[in-house]
Amino acid sequence: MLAHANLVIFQALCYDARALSGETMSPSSPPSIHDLSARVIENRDLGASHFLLTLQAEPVAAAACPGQFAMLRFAGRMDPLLPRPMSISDVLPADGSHPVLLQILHKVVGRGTQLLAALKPGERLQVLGPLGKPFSVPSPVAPGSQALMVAGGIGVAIFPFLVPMLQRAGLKPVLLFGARSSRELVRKDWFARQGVEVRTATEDGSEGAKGFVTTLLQEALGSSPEVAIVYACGPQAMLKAVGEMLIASGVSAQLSLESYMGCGIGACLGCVVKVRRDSGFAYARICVEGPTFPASEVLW
Amino acid sequence: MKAAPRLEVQLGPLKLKNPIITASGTFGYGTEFLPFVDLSRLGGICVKGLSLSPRKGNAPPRTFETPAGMINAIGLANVGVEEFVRSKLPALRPYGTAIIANVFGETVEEYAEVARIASTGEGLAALEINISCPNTERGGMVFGCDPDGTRRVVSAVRKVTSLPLIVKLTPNVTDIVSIARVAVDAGADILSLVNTFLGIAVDVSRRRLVLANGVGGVSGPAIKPQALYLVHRVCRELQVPVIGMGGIMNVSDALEFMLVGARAIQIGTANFIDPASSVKILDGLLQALDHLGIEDVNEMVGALKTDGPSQDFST
Repeated sequence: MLAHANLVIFQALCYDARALSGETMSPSSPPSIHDLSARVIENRDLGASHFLLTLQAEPVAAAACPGQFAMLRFAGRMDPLLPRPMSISDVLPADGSHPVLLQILHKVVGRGTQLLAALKPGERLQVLGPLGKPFSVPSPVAPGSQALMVAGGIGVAIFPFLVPMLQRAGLKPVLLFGARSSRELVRKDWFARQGVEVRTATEDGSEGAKGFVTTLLQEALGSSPEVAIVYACGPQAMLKAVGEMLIASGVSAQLSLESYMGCGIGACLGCVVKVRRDSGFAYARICVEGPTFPASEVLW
Repeated sequence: MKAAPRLEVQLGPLKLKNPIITASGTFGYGTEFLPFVDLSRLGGICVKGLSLSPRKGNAPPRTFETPAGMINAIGLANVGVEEFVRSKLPALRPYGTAIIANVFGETVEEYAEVARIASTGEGLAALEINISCPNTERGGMVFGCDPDGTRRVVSAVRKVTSLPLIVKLTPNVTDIVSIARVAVDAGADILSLVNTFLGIAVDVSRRRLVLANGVGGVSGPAIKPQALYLVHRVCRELQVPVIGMGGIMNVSDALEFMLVGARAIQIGTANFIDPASSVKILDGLLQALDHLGIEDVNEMVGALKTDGPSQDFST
């Protein structure tokens, strides 16, 4: 039994607005998933092939929780065929009023993301979401407790939306951000402006510590006994290393996994990961049983 | 006011309120699609392939995108036929849609046993025997590629069920007509075709096959012309009712399959791209028939003209 097992974890109420308006999510209510044609408001080039796409997608934005994702597709297009799963990076406005915009932070890695990068304001994109199991936040927390967000490369995309939720829960958010080089440490200044402490590592040593983000995590776990929870998103090798470190340290951790997906809604069974179940293992669908998994559950 | 076009189709002993069926393996156990699809509107739902015991399926990666298509090797992960009868089937019954259980086994005896148990499920409309899954060692294709294997499986299942029997054929054979004929002779009421085409995907940078299973099944728009050809051939050679499938993404695709002889069609991969594809194609079918002035969808079945090629190059 891990040390955190008796910690009360509450499923965060999904958006500020929902909490503010007194509206709550009934656990028995069916998930509110929308499929809509969203207008591109902005597609900002952040350099190093990274883009911040802002979409008018009110129902999706309003229903979204940190850690969830959306399936993006070009309606009617047969090649590339499959929708692309993308983390919901943030919803706007972020001041607690009713969100109407959805932000997707992505990096060009293939044909689908090339098409996303080419989107211009006014063009349309089909958005299915919000999908998947959100992050949860521990409660109550000891004063001064930290929440570490461990990001590998474009894995940082999932964290902006989480920051205000951590702050509201009384946690001090710290971003441990690793990338190949300084240019790929995208949006790090945004995090700093939100009051997040940012620590960086680059493989080429161009900024921060030279090496992987796991080095930063090792330091943080050693020096900060007040770490209440760790969230991690990035390449599989990084998540595996992070997961093993956290299991060894006994700190509660949630990993956000990525995968090729067919449908995003649990039907195709394509996006599975091996997880611990009872005395054996099972293949869990990343799209509906995840993408958030406790580190202790994943069998790499 | 003009009446809406009639959509009811009769496939031997199986009557469907319309020709739109969701394909096995692409529609879960149906309820996954409740946020997107009014299940009561569908002509039929083919559920995920069922085996005697629950199966975990193959290790990941299981799917990969290919040009205008996808390749999958899920490995027939499913809850097992008993759990289906106990919990999944009752959840679908209230929708009044024909529920079709897709079944498979590793041996002839297992096929018969799964079919027998499935047939005890109250409210089941038909069985679809999968002798065409490419993704497990004994997932059925060994039977579906061989006339003798096909005969043995279909005869054995025919003996244990009085439900309408659909046999789902693989395209990965030299002569699909000979397999189709054997299936009908052994007791199939209806044929459904085609299942996925065998394929692989290669990762150049890592010099490895992409799927953990190595080989997978290719589906989506990329296989539509091949699938249409095979449906056309079977419909010309045999009198048996045929359910056509393979890359159907929109109503035009659906009508193409009906024109070459399919009395009903299955929507597969399209469910992954747009979860409401099935009902959108149904809406499109109503509109298309109305637009063409056709009162009954059956008028389109096998209505391909054979007096020369189309001269319309406007596409």
